[in-house]
Amino acid sequence: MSKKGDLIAGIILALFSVFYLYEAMDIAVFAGMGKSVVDSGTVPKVWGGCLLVLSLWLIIRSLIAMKKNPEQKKGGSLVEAIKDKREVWETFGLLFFYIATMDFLGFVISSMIYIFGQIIVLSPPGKVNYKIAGILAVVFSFGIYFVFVDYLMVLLPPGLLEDL
Amino acid sequence: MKFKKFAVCACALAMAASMVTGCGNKEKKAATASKAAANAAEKWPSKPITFIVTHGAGGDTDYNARVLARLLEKELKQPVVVNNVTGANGSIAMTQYKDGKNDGYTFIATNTVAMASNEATGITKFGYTAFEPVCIYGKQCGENILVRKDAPYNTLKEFIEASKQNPGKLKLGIAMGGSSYVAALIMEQKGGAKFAVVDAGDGGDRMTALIGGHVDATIAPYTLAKEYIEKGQLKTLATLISERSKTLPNIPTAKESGIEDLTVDTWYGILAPKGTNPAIVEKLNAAILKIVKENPEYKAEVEKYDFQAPWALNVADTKTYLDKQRNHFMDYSKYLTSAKKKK
Amino acid sequence: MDSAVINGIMSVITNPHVLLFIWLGTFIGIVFGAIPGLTATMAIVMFLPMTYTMSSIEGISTLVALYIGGISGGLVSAILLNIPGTPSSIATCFDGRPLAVKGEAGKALGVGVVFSFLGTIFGLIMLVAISPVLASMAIKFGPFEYCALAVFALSLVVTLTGRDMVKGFIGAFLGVMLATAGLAPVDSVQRFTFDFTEMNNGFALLTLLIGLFAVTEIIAAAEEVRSAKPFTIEDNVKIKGFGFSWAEFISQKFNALRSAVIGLVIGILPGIGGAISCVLAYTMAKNQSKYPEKFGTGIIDGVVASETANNAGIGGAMIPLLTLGIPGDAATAMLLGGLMVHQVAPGPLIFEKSGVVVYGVFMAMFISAIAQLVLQMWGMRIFINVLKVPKYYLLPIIMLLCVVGAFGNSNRLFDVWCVLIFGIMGYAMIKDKIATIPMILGFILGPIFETNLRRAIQHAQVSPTETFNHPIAIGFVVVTIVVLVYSIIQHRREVARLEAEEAAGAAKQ
Repeated sequence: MSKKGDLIAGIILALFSVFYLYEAMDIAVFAGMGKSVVDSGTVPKVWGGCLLVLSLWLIIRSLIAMKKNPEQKKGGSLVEAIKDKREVWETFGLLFFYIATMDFLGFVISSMIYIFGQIIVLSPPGKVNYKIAGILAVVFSFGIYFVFVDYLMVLLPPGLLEDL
Repeated sequence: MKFKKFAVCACALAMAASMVTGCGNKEKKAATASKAAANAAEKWPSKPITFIVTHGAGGDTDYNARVLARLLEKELKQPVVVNNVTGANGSIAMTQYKDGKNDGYTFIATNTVAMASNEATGITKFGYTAFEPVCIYGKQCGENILVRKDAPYNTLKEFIEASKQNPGKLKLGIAMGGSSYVAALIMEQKGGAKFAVVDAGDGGDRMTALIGGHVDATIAPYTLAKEYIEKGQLKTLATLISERSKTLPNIPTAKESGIEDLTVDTWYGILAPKGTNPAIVEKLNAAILKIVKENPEYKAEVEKYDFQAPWALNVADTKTYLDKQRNHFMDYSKYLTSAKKKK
Repeated sequence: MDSAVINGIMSVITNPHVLLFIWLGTFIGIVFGAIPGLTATMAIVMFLPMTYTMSSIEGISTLVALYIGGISGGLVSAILLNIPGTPSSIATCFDGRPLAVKGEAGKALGVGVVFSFLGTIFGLIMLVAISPVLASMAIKFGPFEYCALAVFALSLVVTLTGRDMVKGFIGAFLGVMLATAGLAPVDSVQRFTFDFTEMNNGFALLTLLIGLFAVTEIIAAAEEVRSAKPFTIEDNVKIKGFGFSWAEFISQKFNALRSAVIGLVIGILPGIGGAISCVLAYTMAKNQSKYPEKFGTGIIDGVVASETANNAGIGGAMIPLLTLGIPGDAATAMLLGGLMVHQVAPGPLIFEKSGVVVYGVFMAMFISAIAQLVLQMWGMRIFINVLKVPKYYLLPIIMLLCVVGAFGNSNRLFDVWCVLIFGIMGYAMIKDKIATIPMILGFILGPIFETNLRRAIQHAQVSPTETFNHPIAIGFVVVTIVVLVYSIIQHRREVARLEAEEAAGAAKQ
C-alpha cells in the first residue's frame, strides 16, 4: 500500500469536503409550506462532514504508517513518471479534444479523428496499422451516425456536415 | 519570402475591397432583408421541421406533441421530426433552445404550467416572453382533488372546512414547486384551509400515497385517477381547471366552491425561438388551428387518450393566455422561491 | 374471465405480426443491452413513438420484448468487456470478467443467459399468479419504509469495501455527494449548480457508469500498451452446449431462488431499480455462501445471483405497473406511456377492462423470454469472438458507442463531458485503490434516502406518535444494525487473518 499515495488522496479529499461544505452553506432555504428543520442544506452538510472526518482519518493513518516504516524514495523524477504513462495522457487528451470539437466539427468528423488517434495510441509498437485504423474510423463514424440520427432520433451534432 | 509578401498584399487588398463594397450595400441590405423575410415565409416549409419536446417520451406533453406532429406532416407536406430534450421540469430544453436557430424550422413543444412555474420558482430566469409563442393547442383534462372513498367529505368546501376544524392534521400530498403545490398554496391563502402539506412525489407516487393511506388527499390529473374512481376506491372533490370540461361535465370546478383564484390550467403549447420570422409563426399557427379544429382524427386521438376536447388559440390569444397564467403564478412566487442564505 | 385468457393468448400466438415484433424486439433489446452506453430504457424510449401507430397488442408486446432483451443483454459486455451493458448488470462484472480472464467466458455467458431466462420466468409466474397480493403489499411502503430500506442497502457497502473499510466508506460518501448536485428532492432548491443551468438536472447514473467502467477500461489498456501483456482478452472461445454442466446448474438452485426473490421484491418497489437489485443479490449470495472469499475471483455464483435478480425484477416491475399504474423503474415508466396510448388503463380494473390485452402481454413476455434464451444461446458463440479482437481496435469503437449512448440519454453534450470527468475520477480512484462500487451504490441510494427521510420528517411533524407505527421500517432498521455489526466483526477477522497470512509468508522468505 502506498502510504504517500494515501496521504495525497486524503489531503485532496479533505480539501474537497471543505469546498463542498462551503458551497452547502449557500443552499437556499425554502420559504413555503411544508418546511421543516431538515432543509435542503442539512443532508449535504452531514455528507460533507462525514467525508471530512474520513479523509482526516486517512491522513492521520497514512502519517502514522509513514512514521513506522519510512519508505525509500523511489528514484526518478516527475517528468519520467509522466513519460512512463504517456499513452494515458494521450488518451485523456484525445477524449478531451473529441468532446470539445464534437459540436463544431460534428459527430462524424470528430469521431473519425478520435478513433483513428485512439487506435494508434493503443496499438503496441510494431502492431500499428494505419490503414485498418483509417478504415475502421471512417466506417464506424458514418455508420453509427446514420443509424442513430436517421432511425433512432438521437440528435448527434452534425457540425460542418450540416447541409448534407 | 516573396510569397509571403504577396500573400500579405493580397489579404490587405481583399479586406479593403470588402469594406468598400460593404458600406455601399448597407441600405440595399435593409430593403432586401424584409423582402427576404417575406419570401422565406412564402416558401416555408421547404425542409423538415423539428419539434423539441421538453418532457419525456410517454408523458402527456410528449403525446400531444407527437399527435400534432404526425398530423402536421400531412398538412405541411414536410416531415416533422420529434425529439425529446428532458430534465428539470423542461427548463433544460427551454434554456437551450430559446436563443437557438430561429430560421423557422425548430420549435419547442411544452406545457405552459411547467414554463410558468419554472419562472415563478426561480429555476429559470425567463418566461414565455423569451420566446415567440406560436400556439396553445390543447388543454389537459384537469388536475383533480382526490380523497379516498371512505372520507367523510363530498365537496371541496366540506374538505376545507374539515381542515379548518383540525388544523395541521389533514395531510395533503403534493409535489413541492409544482402545480399541485400552487393549488395547495391558493387554498391556504385564499380559502383559509389548514392542511398539513407533505411532499409525495410526482403524479404516480402521489396516487400510491393516497391509496396506501399515507396521505389523506392529493391532487393529480384525472387520467391517473380515472380507474380508481370507477372502481370506487377514490372520489374526486373538484377539478382545478377554470371551466367544467366538456368531456367530464360532472366534475365541479374548484372555482365553484367559492375560491375564485383556485385554478390551474395545464395547456400544451408550441413556442418558437426568439427572433423567428412572425410570418412563419402565423403560418404555423394557422396550420395547427386547422388540424385541431377540423381534423376528425386529431379529435378522436386526444379524446381517447386524455379526455381532451380539441381547443386551440390564435397567436394573439395565445400571448394573452400565457400572460395571464404567468401573472397568476408570479403572484405566488414568494412562496415558491427559496430565500438565499447569507454566507 | 377465461375467455379473456384464451383470447389474449390466441391474439399473440396466431398473429404472425406480433410474433415477428416480439422476436425482433427481443433481438434489438439484446443488442441495446449488450452495447455499453445503450440501455434497455433507451431502447424503449427510442421505439416507443413507433409503437403509437401499431395495434395495442403489437405495440405493447414490442415494448416488453425490448425490455426483456435489454435487461438480459447487459451480461454480454459485462462478461466480455468488464463494462456493464446496462446498470442492471453491474454485479455481473464482478465475477464475469475474472471468469473470462480464466478462459471460462463461455461458462459465464451460458450461466448468465440460462439464469436470466429462469429469472424472467420466475418474475412472470409471480406477475400472473399473485400480482394483486404483491401490489397491495407494495402500497404499504411509504417514506419511512423506503428510508429504512435505503439505509439497509447502504449498509451493505461494508461487505463490498474490500480490505480497506475507510476507503470503501469514502467511496460511498463521494457517491452520495455527487448525487446531491442538481435540484434538491422535495423542494427543488438548486444545490451545487454554480448558476450553470446544465447542472440543474444533476448527474446521470449512466454517465457515471460509463465513466467509471468504460473509460477506465480504455485507460487501463493505454497503461499496458508497452507492457508485454496480451492485447486480446482471451483466446479460448469454444463453447460446448450450454457452456456449463448439469451439476453446476443444480448447485445454484438456492442461490438462484434467493436472488430471484430479491430481484422480484426490488422490482415491485417503485423507484429502486435494477442496479441495486443485482448488487444486493450478489452481496446476499456472498454473505450466505460457504466460500465467500471466492467471490470476485471468478465463480459462477456471482453471475447467477446478479442475472437471476435483474431478470426477476422485470416481472416485479410489471406488477405495480399493471395493477396500480405505478411504474417500478425508468423502463416501466415508458411502458406506462405505451399502455395509456393504447387505451390499456393500468389500475384495479385492468383485468376486467383490458383482460385480453393483459393476457396477451403475459404470453408475449413468455415468448420473449424464450426468444431471449434462443437468441443469446446462439449469439453467445458469435459474441465470444469479441474477445479475440485486439483491444486497440475494440475499445475505441466501444468508446464511440458509449459517447453516443451518453449523448442519447438526454441529447446534451453536457452528459458526454460528465463521462470524461467521471472517467478521470475513476482512474484516480483505481490508482488509489478506492473501490468504485460503493460510489455507485451511494449515488443511487443517496437520493432515495434523503427524499424519504425528509418526507418522513414532514409526516412526523404532523403526527409525531404515528412515527412508531411502522413495523416494516423498524424491522429494516433492526436488521441493518444486526447486519452492520456482524459484517464489521467478520471484516475485521478476515483482514486480520489475511494480514497474519501475509506476515507469515513474508517471514518465511
